[in-house]
Amino acid sequence: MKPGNRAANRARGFRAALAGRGCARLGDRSSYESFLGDLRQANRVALGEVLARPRVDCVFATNERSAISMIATAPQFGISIPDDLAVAGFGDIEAAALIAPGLTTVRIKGDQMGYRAIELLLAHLQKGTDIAAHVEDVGYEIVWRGSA
Amino acid sequence: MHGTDLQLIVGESSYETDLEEVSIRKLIRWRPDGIILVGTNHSAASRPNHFVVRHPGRRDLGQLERPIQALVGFDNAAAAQDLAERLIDKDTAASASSAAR
Repeated sequence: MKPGNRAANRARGFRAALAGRGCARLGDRSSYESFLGDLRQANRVALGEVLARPRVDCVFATNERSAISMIATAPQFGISIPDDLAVAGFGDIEAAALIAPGLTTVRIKGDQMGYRAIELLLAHLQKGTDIAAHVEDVGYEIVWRGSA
Repeated sequence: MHGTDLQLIVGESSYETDLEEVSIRKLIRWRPDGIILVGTNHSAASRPNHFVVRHPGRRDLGQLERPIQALVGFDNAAAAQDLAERLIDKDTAASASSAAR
Protein backbone atom coordinates (compact mmCIF):
# COMPACT_ATOMS: atom_id res chain seq x y z
CA MET A 1 0.00 0.00 0.00
CA LYS A 2 1.69 3.13 -1.19
CA PRO A 3 0.73 6.53 0.10
CA GLY A 4 -0.57 9.20 -2.20
CA ASN A 5 -3.62 10.41 -3.99
CA ARG A 6 -6.07 7.56 -4.44
CA ALA A 7 -7.26 8.57 -7.91
CA ALA A 8 -3.65 8.98 -9.04
CA ASN A 9 -2.77 5.54 -7.66
CA ARG A 10 -5.70 3.97 -9.48
CA ALA A 11 -4.75 5.70 -12.72
CA ARG A 12 -1.19 4.45 -12.24
CA GLY A 13 -2.45 0.86 -11.95
CA PHE A 14 -4.61 1.29 -15.02
CA ARG A 15 -1.68 2.65 -17.06
CA ALA A 16 0.48 -0.25 -15.91
CA ALA A 17 -2.13 -2.73 -17.15
CA LEU A 18 -2.37 -1.07 -20.55
CA ALA A 19 1.40 -0.92 -20.90
CA GLY A 20 1.75 -4.55 -19.84
CA ARG A 21 -0.85 -5.72 -22.37
CA GLY A 22 0.45 -3.50 -25.17
CA CYS A 23 -2.70 -1.38 -25.39
CA ALA A 24 -2.82 2.24 -26.42
CA ARG A 25 -4.09 4.85 -24.06
CA LEU A 26 -6.12 7.82 -25.22
CA GLY A 27 -4.91 9.76 -22.25
CA ASP A 28 -5.78 10.83 -18.77
CA ARG A 29 -8.58 13.21 -18.13
CA SER A 30 -8.01 14.70 -14.76
CA SER A 31 -11.52 15.92 -14.26
CA TYR A 32 -11.67 16.02 -10.49
CA GLU A 33 -12.78 19.61 -10.28
CA SER A 34 -15.04 19.54 -13.30
CA PHE A 35 -16.73 16.33 -12.20
CA LEU A 36 -17.37 17.68 -8.76
CA GLY A 37 -18.49 20.99 -10.19
CA ASP A 38 -20.63 19.97 -13.11
CA LEU A 39 -21.00 16.28 -13.79
CA ARG A 40 -23.17 16.74 -16.88
CA GLN A 41 -20.67 19.05 -18.53
CA ALA A 42 -17.80 16.72 -17.65
CA ASN A 43 -19.65 13.81 -19.23
CA ARG A 44 -20.43 15.79 -22.35
CA VAL A 45 -16.74 16.52 -22.76
CA ALA A 46 -15.65 12.96 -22.03
CA LEU A 47 -18.25 11.29 -24.26
CA GLY A 48 -17.59 13.85 -26.97
CA GLU A 49 -13.97 12.73 -26.97
CA VAL A 50 -15.05 9.11 -27.19
CA LEU A 51 -17.29 9.87 -30.17
CA ALA A 52 -14.45 11.71 -31.86
CA ARG A 53 -12.26 8.63 -31.51
CA PRO A 54 -14.40 5.62 -32.40
CA ARG A 55 -11.66 3.13 -31.53
CA VAL A 56 -11.88 3.81 -27.82
CA ASP A 57 -12.88 0.53 -26.18
CA CYS A 58 -13.21 1.40 -22.54
CA VAL A 59 -13.39 4.27 -20.09
CA PHE A 60 -11.94 3.51 -16.69
CA ALA A 61 -13.18 5.97 -14.09
CA THR A 62 -11.16 6.31 -10.92
CA ASN A 63 -14.29 7.12 -9.00
CA GLU A 64 -17.74 5.63 -9.04
CA ARG A 65 -19.65 8.86 -9.48
CA SER A 66 -18.01 9.53 -12.83
CA ALA A 67 -18.56 5.99 -14.09
CA ILE A 68 -22.22 5.80 -13.12
CA SER A 69 -23.05 9.19 -14.56
CA MET A 70 -21.30 8.25 -17.78
CA ILE A 71 -23.50 5.16 -18.12
CA ALA A 72 -26.55 7.33 -17.49
CA THR A 73 -25.47 9.93 -20.03
CA ALA A 74 -24.21 7.67 -22.83
CA PRO A 75 -27.62 6.98 -24.47
CA GLN A 76 -28.06 10.72 -25.07
CA PHE A 77 -24.97 10.49 -27.28
CA GLY A 78 -26.19 7.39 -29.08
CA ILE A 79 -23.53 5.33 -27.32
CA SER A 80 -24.57 1.84 -26.27
CA ILE A 81 -22.83 0.40 -23.23
CA PRO A 82 -21.09 -2.01 -23.32
CA ASP A 83 -21.37 -2.66 -27.09
CA ASP A 84 -19.97 0.69 -28.24
CA LEU A 85 -18.06 1.53 -25.11
CA ALA A 86 -17.19 -0.36 -21.95
CA VAL A 87 -17.20 1.54 -18.66
CA ALA A 88 -15.45 0.42 -15.50
CA GLY A 89 -15.46 2.11 -12.13
CA PHE A 90 -13.89 1.92 -8.73
CA GLY A 91 -15.64 1.72 -5.39
CA ASP A 92 -18.90 -0.21 -5.84
CA ILE A 93 -21.31 2.18 -4.22
CA GLU A 94 -24.96 1.12 -4.08
CA ALA A 95 -25.95 2.92 -7.28
CA ALA A 96 -23.43 0.83 -9.25
CA ALA A 97 -25.84 -2.10 -9.04
CA LEU A 98 -28.98 -0.02 -9.60
CA ILE A 99 -28.05 1.57 -12.91
CA ALA A 100 -28.56 -0.27 -16.21
CA PRO A 101 -26.32 -1.79 -17.30
CA GLY A 102 -24.77 -2.38 -13.89
CA LEU A 103 -21.27 -1.11 -13.36
CA THR A 104 -18.28 -3.44 -13.48
CA THR A 105 -16.06 -2.18 -10.71
CA VAL A 106 -13.69 -2.79 -7.81
CA ARG A 107 -15.49 -3.34 -4.53
CA ILE A 108 -13.79 -1.56 -1.68
CA LYS A 109 -14.18 -3.25 1.69
CA GLY A 110 -14.88 -0.04 3.54
CA ASP A 111 -16.85 -1.67 6.35
CA GLN A 112 -14.07 -4.15 7.00
CA MET A 113 -11.42 -1.42 7.00
CA GLY A 114 -13.32 0.59 9.58
CA TYR A 115 -14.07 -2.47 11.67
CA ARG A 116 -10.45 -3.61 11.75
CA ALA A 117 -9.18 -0.10 12.50
CA ILE A 118 -11.43 0.06 15.56
CA GLU A 119 -10.47 -3.49 16.56
CA LEU A 120 -6.80 -2.53 16.47
CA LEU A 121 -7.43 0.56 18.56
CA LEU A 122 -9.43 -1.45 21.09
CA ALA A 123 -6.72 -4.11 21.28
CA HIS A 124 -4.21 -1.40 22.09
CA LEU A 125 -6.41 0.49 24.56
CA GLN A 126 -7.87 -2.48 26.40
CA LYS A 127 -5.11 -5.09 26.19
CA GLY A 128 -2.03 -3.02 25.55
CA THR A 129 -1.40 -4.79 22.27
CA ASP A 130 1.45 -3.20 20.36
CA ILE A 131 -0.01 -2.11 17.03
CA ALA A 132 2.80 0.23 16.01
CA ALA A 133 3.81 -0.25 12.38
CA HIS A 134 1.01 -2.79 11.94
CA VAL A 135 0.03 -2.85 8.27
CA GLU A 136 -3.01 -4.81 7.20
CA ASP A 137 -4.25 -5.30 3.65
CA VAL A 138 -7.97 -6.18 3.55
CA GLY A 139 -7.88 -6.64 -0.22
CA TYR A 140 -10.62 -5.87 -2.72
CA GLU A 141 -13.07 -7.68 -4.94
CA ILE A 142 -13.78 -7.28 -8.64
CA VAL A 143 -17.50 -7.17 -9.33
CA TRP A 144 -18.61 -8.06 -12.86
CA ARG A 145 -21.77 -6.46 -14.14
CA GLY A 146 -23.00 -5.46 -17.59
CA SER A 147 -21.01 -2.29 -18.28
CA ALA A 148 -17.73 -4.00 -19.19
CA MET B 1 -17.41 -0.01 19.48
CA HIS B 2 -20.71 -1.21 20.88
CA GLY B 3 -20.18 -2.73 24.30
CA THR B 4 -17.24 -0.45 25.06
CA ASP B 5 -17.14 2.87 26.89
CA LEU B 6 -15.80 4.57 23.78
CA GLN B 7 -17.72 7.04 21.67
CA LEU B 8 -17.17 8.10 18.08
CA ILE B 9 -16.48 11.72 17.17
CA VAL B 10 -16.30 12.49 13.45
CA GLY B 11 -14.27 15.25 11.84
CA GLU B 12 -14.84 16.16 8.20
CA SER B 13 -12.22 17.53 5.83
CA SER B 14 -13.36 16.65 2.28
CA TYR B 15 -9.98 14.90 1.87
CA GLU B 16 -8.26 18.30 2.02
CA THR B 17 -5.04 17.92 3.98
CA ASP B 18 -5.12 21.46 5.37
CA LEU B 19 -8.70 21.04 6.58
CA GLU B 20 -7.79 17.65 8.01
CA GLU B 21 -5.00 19.19 10.04
CA VAL B 22 -7.40 21.81 11.41
CA SER B 23 -9.91 19.08 12.23
CA ILE B 24 -7.27 16.99 14.01
CA ARG B 25 -6.11 19.96 16.08
CA LYS B 26 -9.69 20.51 17.22
CA LEU B 27 -10.32 16.83 17.95
CA ILE B 28 -7.13 16.49 19.97
CA ARG B 29 -8.47 19.04 22.46
CA TRP B 30 -11.02 16.40 23.43
CA ARG B 31 -8.10 14.14 24.44
CA PRO B 32 -9.28 11.19 22.37
CA ASP B 33 -8.10 7.64 23.06
CA GLY B 34 -7.30 7.25 19.39
CA ILE B 35 -7.59 8.85 16.01
CA ILE B 36 -8.32 7.11 12.73
CA LEU B 37 -7.46 9.06 9.60
CA VAL B 38 -9.03 8.18 6.26
CA GLY B 39 -6.70 7.87 3.28
CA THR B 40 -2.93 8.09 3.13
CA ASN B 41 -2.59 11.70 2.04
CA HIS B 42 -1.89 13.76 5.13
CA SER B 43 0.01 16.93 5.89
CA ALA B 44 3.35 16.48 7.66
CA ALA B 45 1.86 17.83 10.87
CA SER B 46 -1.06 15.41 10.67
CA ARG B 47 1.06 12.27 10.61
CA PRO B 48 0.81 10.26 13.79
CA ASN B 49 4.42 10.76 14.84
CA HIS B 50 3.66 14.45 15.10
CA PHE B 51 0.70 13.97 17.38
CA VAL B 52 0.93 14.82 21.02
CA VAL B 53 -1.90 12.74 22.39
CA ARG B 54 -2.33 12.62 26.11
CA HIS B 55 -4.15 9.76 27.68
CA PRO B 56 -6.99 11.05 29.89
CA GLY B 57 -6.35 8.42 32.57
CA ARG B 58 -2.73 9.37 33.11
CA ARG B 59 -1.52 11.85 35.65
CA ASP B 60 1.79 12.60 33.97
CA LEU B 61 0.16 14.53 31.20
CA GLY B 62 3.44 16.10 30.26
CA GLN B 63 4.81 12.77 29.13
CA LEU B 64 4.10 11.93 25.54
CA GLU B 65 2.29 8.81 24.64
CA ARG B 66 4.08 6.56 22.23
CA PRO B 67 2.93 7.48 18.75
CA ILE B 68 1.00 4.78 16.99
CA GLN B 69 0.85 4.29 13.30
CA ALA B 70 -1.13 1.25 12.27
CA LEU B 71 -2.51 1.05 8.76
CA VAL B 72 -5.54 -0.84 7.44
CA GLY B 73 -6.33 -0.62 3.77
CA PHE B 74 -5.71 -2.03 0.34
CA ASP B 75 -3.59 -1.29 -2.72
CA ASN B 76 -5.52 1.05 -5.05
CA ALA B 77 -2.99 0.75 -7.87
CA ALA B 78 -2.88 -3.05 -7.75
CA ALA B 79 -6.68 -3.27 -7.73
CA ALA B 80 -7.01 -0.93 -10.70
CA GLN B 81 -4.31 -2.81 -12.60
CA ASP B 82 -6.00 -6.14 -11.85
CA LEU B 83 -9.41 -4.93 -13.11
CA ALA B 84 -7.91 -3.37 -16.25
CA GLU B 85 -5.89 -6.49 -17.10
CA ARG B 86 -8.95 -8.70 -16.72
CA LEU B 87 -11.00 -6.36 -18.91
CA ILE B 88 -8.34 -6.45 -21.63
CA ASP B 89 -8.03 -10.23 -21.41
CA LYS B 90 -11.81 -10.60 -21.56
CA ASP B 91 -11.96 -8.40 -24.67
CA THR B 92 -9.07 -10.27 -26.27
CA ALA B 93 -10.76 -13.63 -25.63
CA ALA B 94 -14.08 -12.34 -27.02
CA SER B 95 -12.35 -11.05 -30.16
CA ALA B 96 -10.55 -14.37 -30.67
CA SER B 97 -13.81 -16.28 -30.21
CA SER B 98 -15.58 -14.01 -32.67
CA ALA B 99 -12.81 -14.41 -35.25
CA ALA B 100 -12.89 -18.20 -34.92
CA ARG B 101 -16.57 -18.32 -35.84
